[in-house]
Amino acid sequence: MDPLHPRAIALTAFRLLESIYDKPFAIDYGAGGKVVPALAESVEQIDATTYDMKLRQGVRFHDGTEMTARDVAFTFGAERMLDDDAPGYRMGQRTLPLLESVEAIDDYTVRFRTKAPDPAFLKRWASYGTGIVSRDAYEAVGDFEAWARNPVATGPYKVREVKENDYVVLEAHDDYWGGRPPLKSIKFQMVPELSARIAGLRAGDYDIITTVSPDQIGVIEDNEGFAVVGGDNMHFRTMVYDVKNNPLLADVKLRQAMNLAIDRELIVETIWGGRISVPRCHQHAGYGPLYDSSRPTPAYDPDKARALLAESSYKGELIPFKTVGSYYTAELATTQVLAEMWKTVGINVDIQVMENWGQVLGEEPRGVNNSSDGTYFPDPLASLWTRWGETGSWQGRGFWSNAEFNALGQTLTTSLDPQERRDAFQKMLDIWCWTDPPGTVLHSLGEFFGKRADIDWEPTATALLDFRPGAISFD
Amino acid sequence: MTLGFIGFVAQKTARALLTVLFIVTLVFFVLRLAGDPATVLLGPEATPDMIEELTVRLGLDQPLWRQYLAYLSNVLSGDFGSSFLHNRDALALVMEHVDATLLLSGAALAFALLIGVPLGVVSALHRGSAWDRAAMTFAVLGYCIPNFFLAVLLMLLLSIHWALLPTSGGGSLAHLVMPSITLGTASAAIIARFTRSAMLEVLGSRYMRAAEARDLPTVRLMVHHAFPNAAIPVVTVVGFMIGGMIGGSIVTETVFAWPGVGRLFVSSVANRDIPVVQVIVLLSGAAMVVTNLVIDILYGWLDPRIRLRRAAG
Repeated sequence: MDPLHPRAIALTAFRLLESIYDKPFAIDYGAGGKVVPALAESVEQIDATTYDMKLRQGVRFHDGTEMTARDVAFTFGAERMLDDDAPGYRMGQRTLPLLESVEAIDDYTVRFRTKAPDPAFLKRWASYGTGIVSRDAYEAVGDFEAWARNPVATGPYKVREVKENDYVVLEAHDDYWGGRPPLKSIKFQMVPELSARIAGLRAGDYDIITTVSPDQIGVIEDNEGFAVVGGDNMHFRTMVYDVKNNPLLADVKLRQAMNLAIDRELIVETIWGGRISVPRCHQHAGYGPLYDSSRPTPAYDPDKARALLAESSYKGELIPFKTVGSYYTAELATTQVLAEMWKTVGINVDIQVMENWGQVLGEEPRGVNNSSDGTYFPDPLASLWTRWGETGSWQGRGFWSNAEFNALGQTLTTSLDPQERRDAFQKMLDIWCWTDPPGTVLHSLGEFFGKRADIDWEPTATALLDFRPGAISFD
Repeated sequence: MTLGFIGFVAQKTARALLTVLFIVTLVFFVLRLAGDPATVLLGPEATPDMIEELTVRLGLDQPLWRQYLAYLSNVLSGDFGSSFLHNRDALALVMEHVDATLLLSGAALAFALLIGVPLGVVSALHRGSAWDRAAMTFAVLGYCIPNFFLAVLLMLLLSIHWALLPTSGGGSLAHLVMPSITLGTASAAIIARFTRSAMLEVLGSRYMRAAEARDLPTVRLMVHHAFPNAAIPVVTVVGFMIGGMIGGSIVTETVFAWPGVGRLFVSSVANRDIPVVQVIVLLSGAAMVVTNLVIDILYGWLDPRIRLRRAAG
């Protein structure tokens, strides 16, 4: 339960940690992705790579001590995150790859230096992984693993009881700086089976249940007193093509044809009951000035797909399509639908259901696989670049590379000029979506939660569970 | 306890240890070869350097044979390794979940015996009657009905419709009821059928007829003459059931979110958390072996002929 623990990347951890930790800033998605103060009050830019962060005063940790600059400097400092042998180094690199140093100037001011100008500096402090920890409490425990089982932070709820593989109980942090938390305690119970979760909701054992598949939404809503919330969020459900290792997929015309043959609206309508949407390529409205609202959603044009195939070197060979079948909601159904859509235009894939991701991504021959791109702050640096960039997941694993895309990525990463960043990002989308596609976006990653109808609550735009003051109430 | 008996136990134990070693070796290699643990643990969102870092930290960059030998020598010195997923002692982690599984298995077995044995006896005593047919219909149904289906059915009836019991989770006796019935029903059905056929065989034997001819009271007839003789096949089956319950409770534990070893086992296999899987495999192996030994000793107690034959060497 430390946001920089390698296992904190799991969905269950994402959901839980939101109640335990606070970050320097937060994002107000209701206000178009605006960055708003949280544990920090403001940031002053001293020069291109130096920033002073002013902290909120009077913020109390779960153990009652006051949060100061010393804690913030420790949270992101050498011992916990910045050194490459620190326990949180790898996770820290996801969110704060440009951070060079951090020091406390006085009790309420922290100075950050970055390796290069960072256009997303502010947004990063509202992102996953930047929860502030208590230095004294951390040092008293000494061991990262033991600490992660019982952390001390500033969030609205503190850890009361943990039983691994079973449940976690949090209780209200009464000295919370944002006001008294609305819930006295929260039990996060692990219930792996959806039918058991639904039965538990209906029987009154649970107030909110997670990961409701679209075909079960009606089952819940047909019962009086229960409702389903959620839907679109900022994450992208994607497909990945192994361009570099699969000689068939090296042909860009085949990949373009594959993308044109997918009727995304039909998938959304039939599998998701029309409750989610298809993004305009790999971008989200929350990106603000970087977002191009006139870019069309990926086209569905089977005739053009056939024409491209005819021009390509592809002659109907089988392309392996490996899937674990159950990682994403309706993954197997979507996989089968895709295979049929491709077959209609003359592209043949061989669906291979594997047991785990190691087999999907690690074993040759690779071809096509399912994936998703999480977006943890509203900027392409948090999604397109971490997943598809030069050192990101797919280029790093040797699936694809594109020199022009990478060069544009440098501008996106370092330019402080919003217009220049927008131009670079939109050109990257041209490459990613059409001229050299290494995969495609299917739709946004829908996430649904069942709940008691008298509870007024919704998940965040990043599908997290927020139980802060004002986020949940009972009718 | 003669020398012959000690030799018998030693031989059984040695054979069991070999079996366990074979299983552990097989599991080690099969799990390693079917998916890289670091990639599986970190999931599809991880970057290659995160995977590499974990690979080195877990020692997975070493040649497989070296990992295997290191694992074996550690196990022999009592060190079962650390869970890849939870970063803590694998044995301690498993032991934390054993209580819950033993409680569930025990309750399920008690349920199976309480239902199965009386049903079998009643059917045998009233062979061909409506009682017999009803009991055997239950037995067939109980055996055929999938755990998963029965679990959801119980939830619908007992939790949602009548609001008597909590649907899932652990922590109280009320939580134990539905998982025990789910896990115990198939066993109850098997025990009922075995008890019935064993009783029928015994009831038709000459010594029973002789006892009846001596005009003994029915209760004495049953308790002293019929039950001990009918118990042998039933005890054998129950023995197998106990040994198999750690593995057999996986579905039940998953559906009811019961915090036992079965669920830990499934998640550990799926996550390639090899040290934890190995501890569970070793424990189930040991459970099987110990149960078999106990059953062998029970035979001797139930049937003096076996005891005497052993004593004779």
